[in-house]
Amino acid sequence: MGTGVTEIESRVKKVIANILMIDEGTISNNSTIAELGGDSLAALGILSALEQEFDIRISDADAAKISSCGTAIEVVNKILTS
Amino acid sequence: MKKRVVVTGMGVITAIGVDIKSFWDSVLSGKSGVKRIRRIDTTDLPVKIAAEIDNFDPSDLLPGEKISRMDLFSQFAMTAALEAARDSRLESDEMGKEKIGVILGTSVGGIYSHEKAAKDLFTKGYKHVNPLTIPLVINNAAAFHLAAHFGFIGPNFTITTACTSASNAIGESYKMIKNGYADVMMTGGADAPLSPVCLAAWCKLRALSLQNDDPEGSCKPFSLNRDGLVLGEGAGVLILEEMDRAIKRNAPIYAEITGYGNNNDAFHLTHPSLDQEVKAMEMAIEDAGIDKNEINYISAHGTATKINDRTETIAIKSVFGEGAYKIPVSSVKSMVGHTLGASGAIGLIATILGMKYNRLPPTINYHVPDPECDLDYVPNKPREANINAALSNCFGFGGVNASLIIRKVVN
Repeated sequence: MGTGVTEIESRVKKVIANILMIDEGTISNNSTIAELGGDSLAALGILSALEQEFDIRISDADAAKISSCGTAIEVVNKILTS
Repeated sequence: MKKRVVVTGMGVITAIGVDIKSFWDSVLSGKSGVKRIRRIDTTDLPVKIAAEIDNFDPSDLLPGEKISRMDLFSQFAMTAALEAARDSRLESDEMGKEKIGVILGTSVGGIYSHEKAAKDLFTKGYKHVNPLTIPLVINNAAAFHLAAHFGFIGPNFTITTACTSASNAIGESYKMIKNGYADVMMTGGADAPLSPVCLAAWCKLRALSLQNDDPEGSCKPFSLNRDGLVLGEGAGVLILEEMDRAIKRNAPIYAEITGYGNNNDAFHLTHPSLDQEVKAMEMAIEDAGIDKNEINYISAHGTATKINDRTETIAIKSVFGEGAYKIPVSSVKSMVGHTLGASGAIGLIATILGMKYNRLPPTINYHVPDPECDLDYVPNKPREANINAALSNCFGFGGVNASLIIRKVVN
């Protein structure tokens, strides 16, 4: 795929920052969506934006695993390499 | 002095029946109306099932020109309204139409016609936009068509409170008659949400069942393996009437509406609030002035989403305490899908039919009990029982809650 983990990481952060309208620099891998100010509707926005950004489909089962930036990176990475 | 309000006519159109008789026969046989969607292309969508109405042909009921001026949701409303008016013998009523009004509920109104116009504009250009788009799309189009057809010149408006729309419409109609502002109200709800963008948008909410390979078994309210709601379409229309007027003209009397409670969560657009659901039910019970232990059936909102069914179960238990375990609770959404702004009317009609025929509508597809949903959900088969008083719940997006109470009328 030629997509390194660090590149995925920075793209995921950009997506989350855009949806939550916050500065990318404030996002660490451990920050949960709730800690960053997002609710369940913001989480739906993040899922949809990730699907567009990486041209993937995120199943409901995978979606349920995404609670933070780090878990979003893990799920995207898993889908891209499977 | 407050007036008493009775139901004197009913009409319905759903995926399991296009009139009261076929609908009730299907409810009693526990039939699912869910199938692969045929009206629109679902190739790119994760959800390919819905409770779609097959072979709907309104030309049996109305001339072609009238039909072309109605979106599908208005056609559904008109179909149910014609049946309800006939059932109530309203068309031969000669007591004057000044105090007959219409309040309907709809969630997405003329969304199908809206999307068609948008597609025509964006793909073909301005010249191709249907000049009747606005009259087709506006949410109060259906209520207008009903008033115009029957000559009802009383109060007329439309309520849009998502999945609670029809219950709010019925509740407000009840208040209108109870307080003397109208003698008769044609009320209920209609929705036709199976349009391309609407369906895609529901998919994006991740609230729909993904059981594409088992359409009929997909909608499983209160079961442990429930995985979301299934969209439906249709309409339910009821004629509410001031009791003395109904008796005077010898109209059929199905039930009395005695209580209505409504409020808002003021909390979250899509996440239910336990406390406010409890309060809506308590408000309705207080309005009805009955002992809550008299209620012996509950028509649940029962959407088959994880959160709704769990929250509604806890709410019922906190209203009725230990008594909750003795009250049968069922969801006709297991059969007709979630018809959004029509659902409150369709649920209430099923309840009234249950009262009339001494049968409780079942919750179908109930095979795996959920420890968190531990009430009596009338699993899979209708049950013989005498309903004296019933509660009907609707809890919609936008935090809107409404509960209605009906009682059997003893002559």
